[in-house]
Amino acid sequence: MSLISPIEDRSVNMESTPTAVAPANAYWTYVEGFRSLAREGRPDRLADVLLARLDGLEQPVHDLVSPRLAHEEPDRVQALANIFHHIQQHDGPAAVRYFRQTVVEQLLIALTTKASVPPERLDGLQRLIAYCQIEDDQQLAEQMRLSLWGILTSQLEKPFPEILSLAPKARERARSAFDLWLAVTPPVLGEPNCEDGLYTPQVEAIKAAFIQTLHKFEVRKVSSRDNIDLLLLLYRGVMTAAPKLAGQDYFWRMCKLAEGNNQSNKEFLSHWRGLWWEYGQVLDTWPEWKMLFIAGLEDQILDDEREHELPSTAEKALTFMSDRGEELIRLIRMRDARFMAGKSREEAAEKPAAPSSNVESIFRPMKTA
Amino acid sequence: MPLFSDSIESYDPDADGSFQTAIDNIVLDMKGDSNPYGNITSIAQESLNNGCNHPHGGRCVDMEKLVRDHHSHQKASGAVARNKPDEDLRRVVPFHTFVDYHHKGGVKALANLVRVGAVKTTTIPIKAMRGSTGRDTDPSWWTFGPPPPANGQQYADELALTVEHKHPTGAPADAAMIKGVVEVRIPPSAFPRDIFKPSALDAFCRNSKFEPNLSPDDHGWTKPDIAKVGLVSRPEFVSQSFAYSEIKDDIDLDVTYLSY
Repeated sequence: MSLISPIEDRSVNMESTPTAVAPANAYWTYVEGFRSLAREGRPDRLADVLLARLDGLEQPVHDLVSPRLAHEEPDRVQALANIFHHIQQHDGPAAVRYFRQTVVEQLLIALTTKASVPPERLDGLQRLIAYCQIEDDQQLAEQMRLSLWGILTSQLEKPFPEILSLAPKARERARSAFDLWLAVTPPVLGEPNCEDGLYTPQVEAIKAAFIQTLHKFEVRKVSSRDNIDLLLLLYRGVMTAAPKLAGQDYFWRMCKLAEGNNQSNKEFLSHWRGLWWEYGQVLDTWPEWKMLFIAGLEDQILDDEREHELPSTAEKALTFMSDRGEELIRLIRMRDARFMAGKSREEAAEKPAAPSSNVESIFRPMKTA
Repeated sequence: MPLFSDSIESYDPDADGSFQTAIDNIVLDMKGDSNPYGNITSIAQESLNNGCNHPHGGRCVDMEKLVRDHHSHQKASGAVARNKPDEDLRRVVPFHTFVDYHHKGGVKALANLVRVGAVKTTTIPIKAMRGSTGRDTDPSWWTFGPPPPANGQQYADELALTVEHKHPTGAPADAAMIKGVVEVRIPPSAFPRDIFKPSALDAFCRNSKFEPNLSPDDHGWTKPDIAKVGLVSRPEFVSQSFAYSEIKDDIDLDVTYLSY
């Protein structure tokens, strides 16, 4: 029972957590031992201890015994994420590097080895990639991207853009590798082959994979739920690799796919809105990325050459973009109303007896804005 | 033949007494003539005793599994399903549990949300929730009624979610990663499972903060630390954990984020 009052308890500065205190129980013996390995730069030992924890081994590994989960640690992966958090808070950049490097190396081994890998280990390493925020270490992220891109370009039976037509097992492998590739790739703000950009063939392959898969949906050659997830993942790809184009074109095509009242449209719309809930949370994290994407959206909304109304399902997605979403929705409504007014004026011109519309005057200020 | 109550009293897997409250709760919660509102029914007690009458030396083989098999939603518990309240049932979990278990949209999605470190209070389309309300092996805990407080730490204290595991120096430990809690509301009409008044078997864990409710109430009550001023006790139910995909209605769920 702690003698520290709740108020004092909350005021403890985590930066001052000592690292040389003799731990009082099995849990802290393990945490301190793990942190020491990271501080000392022993990636080989660190890997053994990390894998033992993920695999649920109860025997000592390098004198460290995986403890039972602490309160509020729902599983061993989040327990390791907690340790990473301690290392990040207290043990310096070199220790952080060793932890991240160990996770990346072990994941790449697990993805490429011919030996069987326990599913819990693979799942755990993947989730740790997310918890460790690998993309913050540019060198390590680049190494991981190269390896994963290698899997996508040289270890599949077909080129990556044909991902949808791969056999189910290979498709799942490709989907997983691309998900990981995205997880370590920040939004691409530059043009291809420039400093902040990807290589042109990468961007083209991602766009082609998305467009080919989307096309199969548009011509109703796919419908299964698994493939909706694949299409959404590929949309994440174009949002990352070509954000402006995603706003100008791809976003609207996805919204179009969600229009209609049949079950598959509704199913798709639900998933699509789910993705937009998430983008509503994350777009603000990268203002430049958000700006590029919105510039793309605005290009499409304000396009004077456009000869069609925009899909009304766009509103259901944009709602999640809070402030900017509302502005964009208002803009879409105004432009579509003006478009419709123009259309009825044309029709009226063809039929001289028809009454004139007053809609144009309502929206006339838009033209001078 | 050993009785379950005898075997449980000596259960101490960490050799540090961290299960003592959980064990005391079980003893308190056994229904009997002098304890008519105990939540561990006579059906459960008989079944637990049978679980200890194992051919291999007459010991309870795996105490935690035996307890799990008698969680309130399990048939062997003999517990009666309760009426759902007329209002939303609310599941409250730490932020990372929410983004990892409840949302579960892939590695990219997890990396995105871990980076953001919080979620906006909003509605979430049910299809975005591709995870589940909790681990298969654990019951999910639900509250309802009074609205949440403004502060996540207070809510966590009131619902006994607060981390007790402390560094030997007294510094908060695994709390370090918890930046807030997330509450997900599910309307009773869409709720796909029966709900039960919790028993001490549902809360059999290290450093348990549960206290069995031995009154005729339909639900339990959380017992926040009385040393912390201003905390309120909240009603609680348990259900079997379930995947969000089992909610058939195409609805949006209210999600509230409360920072620490």
